[in-house]
Amino acid sequence: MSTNSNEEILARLASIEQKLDYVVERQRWTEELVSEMTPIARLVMTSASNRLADWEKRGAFEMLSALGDAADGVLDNYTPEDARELAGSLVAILGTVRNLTQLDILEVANDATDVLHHTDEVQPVGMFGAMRKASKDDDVQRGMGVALEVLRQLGRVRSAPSGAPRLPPPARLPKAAVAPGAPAQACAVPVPPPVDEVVHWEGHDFDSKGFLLDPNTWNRDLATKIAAGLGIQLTDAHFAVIDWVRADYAATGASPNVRRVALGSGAGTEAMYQLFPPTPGKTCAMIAGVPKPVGCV
Amino acid sequence: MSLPFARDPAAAAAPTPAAHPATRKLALICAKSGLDECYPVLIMANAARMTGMDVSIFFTFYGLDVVTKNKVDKLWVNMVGNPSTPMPPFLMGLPGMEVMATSMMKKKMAELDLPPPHEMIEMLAASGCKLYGCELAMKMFGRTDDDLLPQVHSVITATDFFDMSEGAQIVFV
Repeated sequence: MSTNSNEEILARLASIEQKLDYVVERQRWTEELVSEMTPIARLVMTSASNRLADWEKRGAFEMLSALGDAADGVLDNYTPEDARELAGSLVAILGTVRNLTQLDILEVANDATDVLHHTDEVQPVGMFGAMRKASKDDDVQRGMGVALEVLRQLGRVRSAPSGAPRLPPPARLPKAAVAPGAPAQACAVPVPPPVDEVVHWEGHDFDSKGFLLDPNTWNRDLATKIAAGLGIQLTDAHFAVIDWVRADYAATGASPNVRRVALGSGAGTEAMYQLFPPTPGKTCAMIAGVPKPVGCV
Repeated sequence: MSLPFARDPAAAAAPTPAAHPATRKLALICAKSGLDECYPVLIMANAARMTGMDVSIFFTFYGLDVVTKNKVDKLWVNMVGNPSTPMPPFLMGLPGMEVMATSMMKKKMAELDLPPPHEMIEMLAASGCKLYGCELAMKMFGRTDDDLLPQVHSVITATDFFDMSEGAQIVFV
């Protein structure tokens, strides 16, 4: 062996010395770990075997094998199509579960279970007892209200066509806008009557009954002409009422009826019949250039 | 097609309110005092008056309550014998039922902005509708003119009423 090769070996040993140190160190760590873990592992094994023995005593493994049989049964009796259908309904199931686990629903369920603890000493109640309770006890009335509302919503959902999406009930139509402080319209339905025929007179368009079609084209001169045709000489008292009617129509979009005009303009019912004979509601609306009022007062 | 006011100048030359004689007359007989039984009379009378008809109402028997001062604000809805009740009829005779039904109807009427009977009577009198009390009913219930609302025109007998209603359409409600 030449000096040259000896030097080479020494150089190599020097280069791996560090690595050897590291390997020795790791070996030491591992031994420490095993010596520490051994009692723990023994404890764990003891405990686990005890647990398994306990399970066996209680029939867990028999149950597992029975479950295996059940799985066989499922496989025998159901096809992959069934599983796909189940996947389809899984969304609905999950939705139901999600709805059921909403906080408010859980609170109601919690309340219900609480309530049931208080019903141990309840006396039987007959029909008249039920009526007495229903008429006297606020709690009973509230409960009946809740129950009826639940039944109502249930009925609404069940009566919806099966194919149709089950949407919440539509919001009620808002009432016709009425100026604050003014009395509400009686039976007022602000629907313009169907225009059967347009009649031109004095440069304006009227329907066949004599009501101005476009209230915006009205002016005092036209009012005087219409009134004269009806045999009425317009005075300041007339115009006070007419101005109120036009302002009210502009505010609410509906022609006010006689009672509303009489109260709102301050003229009074009697004056309405004197100012606009013989049909105060119609005549007044006709002269004021607004549609015929709807309603029965 | 002619507009009601687009007449020929000759006819429109001398128009006066007297040029609108009532062409139709209506005579209503109110014989019941239930809130639900008097409202139709009052509403129909008002509607007829607004249509330009000449209207008179004859209040007789229990209908007299509608124009009696201390009764007009306490008219009840009678549910017994009413087939339109929402509950079984045998429950309708129970105490408090008429109070409940009346308060419900009053609430509904207020929602529709229909005035209570007292205000309807005032409105009718102001509109020129003639209100009459029945003399026989007055004697039967032992009432005097002071018991009636001031809007009542006079107390007359049935024969007077039919004499006055010549040419009218008579409706018994």
